Amino acid sequence: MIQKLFVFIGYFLVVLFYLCTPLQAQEKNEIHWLTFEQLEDSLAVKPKKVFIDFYTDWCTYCRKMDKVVFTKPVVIEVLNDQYYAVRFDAETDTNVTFSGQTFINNQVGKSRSPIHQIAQLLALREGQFAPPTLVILDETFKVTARYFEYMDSEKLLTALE
Amino acid sequence: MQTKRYSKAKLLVALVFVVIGFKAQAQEATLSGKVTSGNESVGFASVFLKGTTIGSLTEIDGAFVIKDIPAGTYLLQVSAMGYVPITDSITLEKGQTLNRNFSLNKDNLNLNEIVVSGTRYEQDRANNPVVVNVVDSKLLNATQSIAISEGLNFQPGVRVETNCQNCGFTQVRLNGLEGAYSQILINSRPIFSALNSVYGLDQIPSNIVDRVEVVRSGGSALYGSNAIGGTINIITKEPIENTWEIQSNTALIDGDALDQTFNINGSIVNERLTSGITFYGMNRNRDSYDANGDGFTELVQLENTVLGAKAFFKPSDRSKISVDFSALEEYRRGGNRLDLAPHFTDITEELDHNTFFGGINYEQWSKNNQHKFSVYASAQSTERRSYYGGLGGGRTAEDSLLAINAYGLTEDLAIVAGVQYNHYFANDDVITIGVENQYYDTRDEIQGYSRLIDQQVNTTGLFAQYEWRPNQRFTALLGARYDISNVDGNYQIGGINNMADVNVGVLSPRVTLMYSLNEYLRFRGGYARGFRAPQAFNEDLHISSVGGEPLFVILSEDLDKETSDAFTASLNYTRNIGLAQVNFLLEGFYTQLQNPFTQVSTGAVLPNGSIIEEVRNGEGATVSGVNFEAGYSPSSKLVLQLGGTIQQSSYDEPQVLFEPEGTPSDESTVAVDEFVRNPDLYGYFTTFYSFSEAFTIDLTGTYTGAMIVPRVVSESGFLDLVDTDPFFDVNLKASYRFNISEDFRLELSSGVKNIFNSYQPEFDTGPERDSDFIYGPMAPRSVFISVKIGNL
Repeated sequence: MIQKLFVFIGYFLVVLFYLCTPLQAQEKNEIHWLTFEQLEDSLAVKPKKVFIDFYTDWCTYCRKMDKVVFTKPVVIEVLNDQYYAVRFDAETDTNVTFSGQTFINNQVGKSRSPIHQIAQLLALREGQFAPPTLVILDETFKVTARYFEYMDSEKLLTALE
Repeated sequence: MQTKRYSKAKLLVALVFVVIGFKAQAQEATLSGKVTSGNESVGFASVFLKGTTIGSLTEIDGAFVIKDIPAGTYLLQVSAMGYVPITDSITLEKGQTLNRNFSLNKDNLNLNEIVVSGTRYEQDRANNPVVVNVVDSKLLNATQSIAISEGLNFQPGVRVETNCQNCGFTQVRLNGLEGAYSQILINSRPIFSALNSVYGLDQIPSNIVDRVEVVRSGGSALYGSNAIGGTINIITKEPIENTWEIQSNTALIDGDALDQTFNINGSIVNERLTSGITFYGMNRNRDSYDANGDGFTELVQLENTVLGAKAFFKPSDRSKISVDFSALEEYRRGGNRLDLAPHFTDITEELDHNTFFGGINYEQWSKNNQHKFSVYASAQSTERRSYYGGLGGGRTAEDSLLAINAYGLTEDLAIVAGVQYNHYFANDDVITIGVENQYYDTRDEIQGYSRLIDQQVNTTGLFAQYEWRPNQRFTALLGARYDISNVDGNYQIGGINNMADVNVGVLSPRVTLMYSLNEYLRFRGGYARGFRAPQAFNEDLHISSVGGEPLFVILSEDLDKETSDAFTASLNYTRNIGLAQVNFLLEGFYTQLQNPFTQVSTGAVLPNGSIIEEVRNGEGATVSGVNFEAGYSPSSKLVLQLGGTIQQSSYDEPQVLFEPEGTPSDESTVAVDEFVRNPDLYGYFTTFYSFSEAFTIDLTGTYTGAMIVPRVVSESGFLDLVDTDPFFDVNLKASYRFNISEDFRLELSSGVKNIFNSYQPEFDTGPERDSDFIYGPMAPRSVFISVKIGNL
């Protein structure tokens, strides 16, 4: 009896995930994520508010945001229309050149979770980095708000408006 | 270029500071210095005066300057991501310029995991006054543990042993004490009943487990009076993402018996993270295994199906309701001629468990996060159909009659409910108070043997604990629990009928202290008192077979409560040097048991041939020893861990295990002066090596030292004490992960368990064997291959 129920739940899950996957794939509409280099050029051409998402590849809340929040049409619309959106891996070892300075990850090889200088500069709270960290800046690249937690689309939209 | 408008890192820093709330103060004192870690300077570390908004970030070279500090004494906190924060007291005078340098340590080895066991509310493990060791899902995976019981050996002071060839019953020993001295919890709740702790650890699939926390010795006041060996807390996974995973594992034991497991789990959580559910299921089929070709099993045939779900709902940001359900069906059979109906065989132990479990938990935090209130209740109901018996080598009409009457039925109900309140003070002190009621109703009946255990145990426990942190270096956990136990039992076998009607109230104080000698070295010390009310525990419900006859355990009429005192003291050294992590633990324990429950073979034999063992208050005993653990990890690619226990046990007076009845014979009294089935040295090692993100190799093993194992050699229950040789059980596993797409991963792994085939060399044979004469590693050499697919 339990065995049958078990098999049934198995089928149920498989069908469920099969139904979920194509839905996301159909959404052609995406956020136009920029790198810091692209951001600099864009800001030079046309000032706009900036949204930065600091994530790491092991952060489950970040993945959750990628999958369910940043795929919402309203969120995509607001971020694409009113913001330059930047997505940045806080543990990346690539150098970033921004406003004439080169930022590196000086903790690579020294720490098991090496935080890039850009993230150290913008995304620390009391010296700690806990992804996801979401930073909103105005047209003059001045920080107006920072959020140190997972945000669902409702909270994020309120923060962006 | 308009670089001036938004350029310069300095400008960025300044802007960030505006947001953080850095405020200019009147010119007073200046603090400057450098933050380093080893030979490296730590840039972007935060240097803050606690309780103020005064502070600074260090430059890339680690230097910092904080100006305009009003004179006074401050607590200074220096922290940086990936480093252990430090605090220090400084006094600044007017106009003074003080130069202070700080050295930070890297933070690794799971040290900042949140552990719940020590105190029942979340806190940093490193600052936890009780030593908590964690078996995480990585270790369960590396040791290819299908059930939790297989993974627990890889902790100091923990040893899992198999106790029966006919039914495969296992138990966990902590600090050398039998399973009944340990408390097993699921998500911090004691839902394991007398019956389920026998087989329960085999029934929990490891794929739903986030981690298992092991607290040795008495430790905290919050976890039950019998937690004197220690507490094992199984924490299940909390879902965030939508996930699914399917796993299949096939093992071949000694080239002969197939062990096939199929696992599935998934979770769905809504976007706002306010509700979600996790499902899990497992199906396991293991063939029986006969090591010596005598036709009788050494490993039982096992069919196990588990299906469960755990759901949560958060009505608000400060409250949470979670609900758990699981259903479990397990069939196991051992003995001989598994193809025949049990009563046509010589020996069969056949158990068919059907268990349903349900639980609910509600938590509410106050607005200022100072008060937390939780209520919980869970219930577990088990129906067990059993067969313990057989013809026992004989073929007379009497044998047949006895064999056909050996079918039994067990009904077991466990209900646990409790209320707990925490108050968090501003200075980090915490008060916890609570009430918990546990009710266990067990009825185990085999009519053919006139055997009945009908027992109701109700325990109401009141507990209170104060966690006192007078300063940064010292923490004290002061607590006590008062348990009122009521045992109403009826124990019958053959013509013997013992009743129990016991009412005891016992106060168990618990004290634990922690002192940080320096930033790497911590001392902990503790005392705990425990007691067990006279009642049938799991091992008393199990029936083994000897000389072709069943062996029953019955509680003696005048059984009194047993008490215990446990002392523990430990030194724990943890240090991070660059990417490397080092940890070392040395923990001494000293446990005294007064009137311990002891099974004594009285030589009594019922008219139908059954052997009786009686549970009596045995001689006082002392177990003392040292747990040690050493870990080294040069980088996250390689983790090495080694641990073990050196211990000794002694009875105050020689403990009688067999006492001949009636006429003198050549069978004399058998007594021991130390615990049986208890090695003086046992331990483990684990090695994880990642060649790349995808390819990893795990080498793990356990060592079981020499010990004394009793072996029944005559129909009266007379014992021979066998000195066993040590065992060294080594496992090797290689796994490779293919990231086929972002949402689809495949992991293949394969390996060998017990490579050197270190297994019990000789078993009793034939229908008249002593089925409890089994010791050492759980299974001989086996090869396995496993396939796992999932979206993470």
